[in-house]
This record gives sequence, structure tokens and C-alpha cells, in this order.
Amino acid sequence: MIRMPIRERHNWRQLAEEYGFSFHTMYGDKYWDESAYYQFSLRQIEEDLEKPSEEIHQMCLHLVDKIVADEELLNRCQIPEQHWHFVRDAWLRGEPSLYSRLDLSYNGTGPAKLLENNADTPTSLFETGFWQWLWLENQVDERRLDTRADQFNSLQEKLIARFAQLHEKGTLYFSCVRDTDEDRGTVEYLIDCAKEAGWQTDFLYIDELGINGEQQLVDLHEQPIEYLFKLYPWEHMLREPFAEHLYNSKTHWLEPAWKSVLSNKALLPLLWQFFPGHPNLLPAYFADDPQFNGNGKWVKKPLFSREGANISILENGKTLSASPGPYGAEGYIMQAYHPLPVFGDNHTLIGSWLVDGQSAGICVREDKTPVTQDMSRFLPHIILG
Amino acid sequence: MKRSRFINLDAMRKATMASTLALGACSQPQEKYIVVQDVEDCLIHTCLNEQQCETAYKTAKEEAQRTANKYYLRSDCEAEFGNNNCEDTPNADGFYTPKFAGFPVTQTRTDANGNRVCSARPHFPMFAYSGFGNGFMGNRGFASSTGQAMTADGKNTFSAEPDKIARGAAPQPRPTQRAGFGSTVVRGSNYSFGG
Repeated sequence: MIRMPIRERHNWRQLAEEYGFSFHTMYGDKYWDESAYYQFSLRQIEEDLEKPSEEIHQMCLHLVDKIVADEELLNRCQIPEQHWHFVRDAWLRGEPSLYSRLDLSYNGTGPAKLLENNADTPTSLFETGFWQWLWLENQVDERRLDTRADQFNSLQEKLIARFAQLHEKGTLYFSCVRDTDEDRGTVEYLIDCAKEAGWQTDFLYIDELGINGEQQLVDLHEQPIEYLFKLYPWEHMLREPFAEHLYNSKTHWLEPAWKSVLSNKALLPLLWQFFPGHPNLLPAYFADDPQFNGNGKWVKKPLFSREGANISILENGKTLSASPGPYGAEGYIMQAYHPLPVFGDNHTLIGSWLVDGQSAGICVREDKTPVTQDMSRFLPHIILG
Repeated sequence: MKRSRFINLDAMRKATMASTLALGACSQPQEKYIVVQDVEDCLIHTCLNEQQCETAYKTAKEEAQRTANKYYLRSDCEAEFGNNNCEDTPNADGFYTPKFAGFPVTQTRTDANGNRVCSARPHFPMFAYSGFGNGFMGNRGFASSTGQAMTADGKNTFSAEPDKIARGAAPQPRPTQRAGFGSTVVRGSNYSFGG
């Protein structure tokens, strides 16, 4: 695993416009960065990332099965009690899922360590599945990269295949909140994939959902919604007033409601409890666990948090650094500090994608600080050797 | 090969996406509103009768509860709406929400026949707000449920495009209950909910 500088494609901004990649620069800062790329060997990809990702995913599913049947664990995950049935039924019925992204710390040697599981609303999907794929094609065409260069990225192919597998006659609706180019862009990309797989699709904002007299979710034209993809976290949905309609409505959700358990950071201490010492896991505890003594260096994370908000690093109980944010009301977990590898002055994080439990590729994010945040840069990668 | 073998580039091209995303508000003429905080205030300052004021007030209170932004932290709420402008949610679910400040009524005018006309907008409740450029010189500041500030132009009055006060609030009632999700808007409306 090495970081290599490379000349940017002279026309990439124009291509970005052509393909609707509107958020390559956010708040004036570079988000897509093709001034360098990461190179992995095939062995690193297959042995250290592909296989372990699938294994971690299976361990997580094993836990979901335990958690939905155990009130104490459901409480630990802060699933609101009035929705236990809804979450449990979604799991027992085998409601299908689409995708997830594991965030891993990996430096090219030794086992990759799971930092967290973004199983409910992972983004940077377009950039991974399409945009870095296009970058590789272009750079190989320009002969700036070896023609044997490959990429660990069958994400788009697998997403389309998964949508095809789930294909039904009705309309598959897609939804997200207003006012974010990034979320809207991600949803647009998934709409493209679903269409390619033969689905009829439609879009509405998450606050436009209605409920009719028959307890069906409906769109703005009062049409019942049978299939709905939402890029909005279950942890929020289950706490909002509109959630009272969930149990009686017949809508099939992507991601399914059991993802509220899978994407929960309570999963990290539970994984360590069920699979102690697993090479891809870091020691983790609930912050209020009497077994946790605070000795050494730990990362404190809220049960619900995204984009690196409200994360602090502690040493022997003393706070060394903390990122701001609105999360934390539901409690915290402690995870053993495992610094991201540093390349130059960049802290590098691997996002490992799964589609229906199968490894589907990686994305590489870089940050100037040890905690990867919303504004981390996205860099392409290749496999060579 | 570890990457997608084929991607349909033609299907991926959408030079128009950026422009559909940027679909902005076309400017509309502004309307002048007065914000009334209760039934009495409504009777004194508008042309509505007692029953109209009562109905509007009740609706506005309900809408305020339903559509107001919720925050995990009081400080996040106050960062948006200003100091002392936030309180516990009425159902005490642990969130904080801005204080209800009343509902807008179009300023009373006289129509061609000499009758006084005005109309209430109880579906777009207003919340206490003291951000930049508002809530000083005796003018109370107001914001919509999503924290969209209204520019005060007098005591308890503001002017805005009719669309602007509706931003983020629920559409007019219809047989279908339409609230959807999204009420847990965590400070900053352009926060991504992906991760």
C-alpha cells in the first residue's frame, strides 16, 4: 500500500459536470482529490480487505439475530421500545438489504481493524462505484497508469445486480432530506442503478411522505408507496412522530429497519464481547461498563454519530482532543485507540463496501486530522502487483 | 478483474443534474405580515373576528409543535434561534425546540368596496429568533420552523415572499396526513445524513 502522486486529468471538472458530480468541491475545499492515488497489491486486497470485510459482516449479522430477540440488548442499542416489534419483524421476515460500508484502519500490513459499520446510510457511493472507476479508465487510456492496473471496485455492477434481484413490478421510490447536494447526488446515483436494473423509480423528499386512511404510506399524488429507499437514518426515524405509522404500513424499506441495529455503535462493544480477540476487532466497551477501567488510550464515540462528530480521544481518563457536534444524548462507547496510518501528513481511512454481504470494493479517504470527518478528501486507488 | 467490467457511460451522463439540484426560488413579490402571539393580540391587530382568531391560534400551536426543529442540545437550538429562545419540547422527549412566537397575518388592507381584508397563515407558525439583524430596536425577531429568519421591518411585522414563510413547514392540510420524516433536523440544514 503506497501513495503515489499523479497528474490530474486536464478535463476532470468538465467530466464531473457531464456526469452530475456536483459536490467534488464542498464549502470551497477539495473533496475529490486526484493529485495522488493509493496502490495496493492483489494480496493486500484479497487477504486483508475483501475476506475480512465479509467475515466482519457475518459476525455483525450474527449479533443482530441475538439483539432483536433480547430486550436488554435492544435497550443497549437505544432502540425505542415501541418499535421493537417493527425492527424484530423486519429481521425475522428477512427484509432484504442493499449495501453497507465498513470503516477500516489498515496500513498495508497486519489485520485491518474495524472502526465502525456504516450499515444504514453510507455515502461516497457515486465517488466509489463510478467516479474513481472512470478515473482509472481515463488514466490508463492516457498511459499514465499501467494497462494492467486494476481497482477493487465492482460496486456499481453489484448494486445493479442486487437491484435486479430485488426487482418487482411496482415503483421503487427514493428519498432523502432537502438541501444537501451530497445526499441528493447519492440518491440520484442509486436511482440510475435501479433503472439500469429495470425498476420504475420516483423521488420524493422524506418530509413529503404521507399516510392515507388505509395506513399506507403515499406519495404527493396519493399513490401508495410499496418500495422505498431512504437515505435518512433509522435512529432518527424511530424517534420522530411519523414513526407511529411504520408498523401498520406495508412499505418495504431499503435499508430495512433491522439496520437500526446493524449501524448502531453499540455493536462495537457487543462484537468484542461475542468475538473477543478477533484480529479485525478493536477492544470496545460501553462507557458505563464496570469492566472498563479507562487505562490506556481510548476513543469515545456517541452511540449515534455520523461524519466524525462528537468523537474524543482519552488517555487514562483525560481528554486529549474532541470534535464538536450534536450527538451523545443516547450514551457512549469506548474503543481502543488505533491511529489511522499516516501517509505524508495524511491520515488515511479505508471504506470497505458490501452489497448483500459480498465485498464490492473500497474507497480511500484522507484527512489532515486523526478523526475522519465530512470534509475528508476522497482519493482513487489501483491494484497493481 | 476486481472492478466492474462494464459501465454504461451514456446512461450515467446527466449534464442537467446540477441545474435541477440548484432549482432555486424565483423571486416573488413580498407580502407584509404582522405576527400575533395570541387570540387577544390577533383581535387587536388584525381584521379577523374572535372565532377566526381562535381557530388560527389553535392551528398555529399544533403546527408549531409538529414542525419545529428539534435539537439534542439546548445550545444547538440557541445557536440557531438565539439566547433564551428555546425550551423543552411539549412532550418532554428530551429534545429542545424554539419558543412559539405566534402566527403571521397579512397586514389589514381595504379592498375595492371599502371592506377591511386580511388573512391568517396559521400553518406557518413563527418562532422567537434573535439572530443577526433581528430582534433589536424593539423589533421582535421571528423565524420559521426551520430557522429561516424573517426580516423585521417594524414592531412585530416583517415582509417576506409568501413562499419563504412556508419553507420547511407542512403543506396545507388535505385528507392525507403528510408529515413524513425529517423532523430531527440537527443544526445546519445542509448537514448530510449519510455517513
